Order: sequence, then C-alpha cells, then structure tokens
Amino acid sequence: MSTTQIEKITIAIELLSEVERFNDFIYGNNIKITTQNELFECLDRFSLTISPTDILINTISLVRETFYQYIAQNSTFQIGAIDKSKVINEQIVVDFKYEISLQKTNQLFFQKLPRKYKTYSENIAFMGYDFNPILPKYIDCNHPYIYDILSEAYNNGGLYSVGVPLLIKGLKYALRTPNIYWDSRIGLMGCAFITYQLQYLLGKNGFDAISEFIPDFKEKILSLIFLLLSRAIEMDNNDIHAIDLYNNRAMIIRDYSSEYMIIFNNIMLGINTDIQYMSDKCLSYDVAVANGVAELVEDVYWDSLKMYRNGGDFPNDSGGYLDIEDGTWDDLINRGKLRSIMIAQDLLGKFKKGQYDFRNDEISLIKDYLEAKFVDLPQKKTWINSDCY
Amino acid sequence: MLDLRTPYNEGINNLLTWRNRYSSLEYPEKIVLNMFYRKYTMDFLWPEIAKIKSNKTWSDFGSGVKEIEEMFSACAINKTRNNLEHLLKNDGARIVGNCSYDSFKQRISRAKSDNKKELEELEYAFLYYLLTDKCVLYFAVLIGLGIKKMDAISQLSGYILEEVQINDYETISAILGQVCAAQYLNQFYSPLP
Repeated sequence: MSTTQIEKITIAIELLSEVERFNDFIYGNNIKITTQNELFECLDRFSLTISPTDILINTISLVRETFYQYIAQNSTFQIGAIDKSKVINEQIVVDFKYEISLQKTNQLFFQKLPRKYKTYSENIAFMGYDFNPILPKYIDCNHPYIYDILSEAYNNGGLYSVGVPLLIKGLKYALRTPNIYWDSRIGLMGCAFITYQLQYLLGKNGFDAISEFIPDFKEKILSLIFLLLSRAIEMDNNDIHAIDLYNNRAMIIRDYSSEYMIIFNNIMLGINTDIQYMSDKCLSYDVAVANGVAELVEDVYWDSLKMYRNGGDFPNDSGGYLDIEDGTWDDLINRGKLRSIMIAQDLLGKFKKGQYDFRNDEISLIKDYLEAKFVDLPQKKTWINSDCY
Repeated sequence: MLDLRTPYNEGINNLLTWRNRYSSLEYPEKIVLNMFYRKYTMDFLWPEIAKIKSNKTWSDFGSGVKEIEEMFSACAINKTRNNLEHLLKNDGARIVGNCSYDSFKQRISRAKSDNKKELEELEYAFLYYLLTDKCVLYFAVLIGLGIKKMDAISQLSGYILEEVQINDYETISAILGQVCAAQYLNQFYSPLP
C-alpha cells in the first residue's frame, strides 16, 4: 500500500469518526462493523436518515469512494477487482433490452455451419428482429454492448453498410486504455463481444492483411479478446452471461491454438491450449447447471469430455488426455481455470501499459478493410440476431 | 513525442468518479469548476515557471516532473483554493489560458437540462485543458533540463515549429494545446455514454 493510499484511508476514517451524527447513529442502533460489506451497508442506512441536500451526503460519498478505490487498488486479484466509484450508470442498456424485446418478428433463420461430422450437419438458429425503428435512438449511445448487439444483427442480416460502422463505434471503447467500461460489467462484456465479433468478421485472411499495416495486429487483438473475456468472467463467474463468455474463450483458443500457444508460452511455459479449451467448455456447463439451463448447452459438456477422452472432436484410439496427463478430468479443469487467471493477470499488466492500444487511424484502417470485404446482400425482411431476449 | 496516456487516464477517472459523486445538476458545474481551478493555478504558477533557468535545475525528467507537480500543488493550495469562488464570481470574464469562465456559463446551464451534446463538450474541454496544462508543466521541466524552448515543444509534440516568442501562459497553452493535447485526443478520445 502506498503512502498516499494510507493517507487517504486515514483521512476517510477520521472524516467518519468526526461526524457526530454518524457516531450517534452507530451507537444508537448498536451497529458493529467488522467487514467491508457491513461498513457499506451501514453507510447506506445512514444516508437514508439524512436529507439529500445535507452537506453530509458529500462526505459519505467521499468516504465510500475512498474505500472503493482502496479495495480495488489493493486487491491481489486485479483481473476481477471492481472499483465501484467508477461504475457507469447503464440504465440505457435496460431501456434498450426492453425496446428490442418489442421488435421481435417471430421469424427464425438458419445458417449452415461448415460440416464437421460425417453423419450430421449443424446450423445456427437466429431469431428475427427489426431494429430499424429503434436504430436512430441508439446510434449515438456510446455503449459497446448496444453497438455489439445492433452491429451483429445488421451484419448477420447482410446490411454491412450499417453494421460495420456500428461495430467500429463500439471498437473505439474496446481497443484502448483507459477503458471507461472497465468497472461496468455489461459495458465490459460488450467490449469483449464486439472484439470477438471483429475477429469473426476478419477471419484469418483479414488478420494477415491488416498485420501488413499494423505491427503485431493479430497478437494484440487475440491477447485483448482473451483479457476482456477473462475480465468479464472474473467480475461475476456465476452470472448466466458467463456461459457465453467461457464458451467464447474456449472457441477462440481452439480456433487460434498455435497463436495462443505463443502468447501463453511467453507468459508461462508448458501451457496446452487443448486443456484450456477443455476447462472453459466444462466451466461454461457448470455455470449453465448453476443457472438451471444445462439442457440448452449440453453440447459444451460433451465437447469438454471428448477433448479429455480423445484429444479432439472425434472418438479414436489415441487415449486422449486421459492417458497422457497426470490428472483426472476435474484436475485438468481446475488447472486450466487457474492458468487462465494467471495469464489474464499478466496480460492486464501489458494492457495497462498501453501495449494493446489502437489509434483512431488504425481503427479506420480496420473499417476500410471490412467495408471493402463485405458488400451489402440483397435486403432481407428482418435483421437477425443470435441472442434471444 | 510524449505519451499523454497517464494524464488522460487521470482525467477520465476523475470524470467517472464525479459522475457518480454528483447529481446531474451539479456535475456540469463541477467539471468547469475543476477546469478553472487548474487554469488559475497555472496562471499563478506561470511567473515561477518563467523564472526556471536553462541550467539543469533538476537531474532528470522524472525528478523534474515530481518537483514541478509539487510546486503546482503548493500553488493550488496557497493561491487558488480560497480565491477561486471569488475570482469566478467577480472576474468571470477574465481570459485565463485562452478561455473565460463566463464563456462556459450558458453551456453549463444547457448541460444541466440534460443536453448530452453540451455535456460532452464540457467533458472534452476538461480533458483538453487538463492535457494542455500537463504539457505546459512538462515543457517547464524540459526547460529546466537545459533544452531550448522551441526544441522542448518539438520533443513534446514531434513537430518542428517556427520560432515564436513565448512569454506568457496563454501563448504556450495555445501552442501545446494544438500540437499535443488536440493531437492526442484526436487519436484516442471516445465520448462517455
């Protein structure tokens, strides 16, 4: 703890102890404060007893801020630490979610996936939404979560001339420090998903093309996706959104396994991306079980188990990691979980130094590439989205 | 070219904290108040900055920044803190660092009435002047290290400029505002929601 922080926390405690009414409140109600939660609860209760115009409200806010900052800055678990004094009011997302629920068209769309198995094919199902009526309201909302949902919908619907600029607007929040949504979970999830969407649209060819103009482009984007997904997971890994976050992290590690092998092994030696994949898939299922939706995402459980038993997606005689590794399936999942945290902590240090920052002219270059690559398809009646609200 | 990430980070953190601390009616006023707290302090500090001689006042850039930040804090506490309210109330039309408090009054009242564009203008202005003033302090540090004025501007901005007479806070803040702060914000600024 630095001297300034000690000074700040001492001042905060002194401030509190000098407020007579606060002391009376504590002794009068026989309150004992032994944990930080009890302190915040007590401050909340005390705030309710004073008038909103009272100057004491500002003192209470200052004390609360100081403690929030102290807790966030001194946490050894930086990747999941939240400074509540910097959380952005995200009421706009609540309004947005309500409004888009009214835009459902009840149509379903299916997109064929490249065939992986001989015996059956896979499709992604999309729910139909018409976002045109609400687009003008949210086009300048400056929120990456909203930009992600809108841009994904328009890009899936084939109207790239609307979807790509929205994606770029969102990327301006995700691809730089300071990330103003760092302490707001929905905003940070938006940053993670929109960067994930960028890699999906770019594809391996896109990464190679842009890497000619921006040095280490692929490494920077992939590191950033891992970091943002990990941060969003660690902020609350029991929430239902963590199913998607874990699953996306597993998928991208699998898709770019050789790239991630290099990124991970620059941090610690001997990391096997297959085990990280296996771990994230199973953790995704665990969250689904905890939230009572396990049946919907049963595939992720089997993906993890197949990787453990066969070292891949198909049954074979290799023995998989069951024979190779010195731990059980559970052991490997726990090791993967811990390694992900350690890797993310290391990437966070680089992120804070600005190593994954992109300037506006570099983001414009990405925009130019995407606009050249994707031309609007003949318009469909509705725009589609992979999420159901 | 100097990386302004740290002061920019500081500015964004302040804005986020104030957004949570103050009501939507207080917040616009507080932004401008803080902006002029810094500007008046810079104005009071300028005579001391002008006295800095090019004779290796400090051993390196880091220790120079630390010293000048301490000078700034002392000046803020001794000269600005108790006078700011009086200065803004009675001498609001005075130009300090190329802008006056009165010129922000209408913008503040429009921002209070939930005008998002106006609020963004205030937040942008706060960040712009914060970066500019930080650059002026870094400029003073470079002078103290024995670097000529125009060379110091080149080192901070990456641009080579024509010789200009720099004798007051207005001139240096106008130059560094354009070649450093505006350039940085042009590349990295994203508006708050």
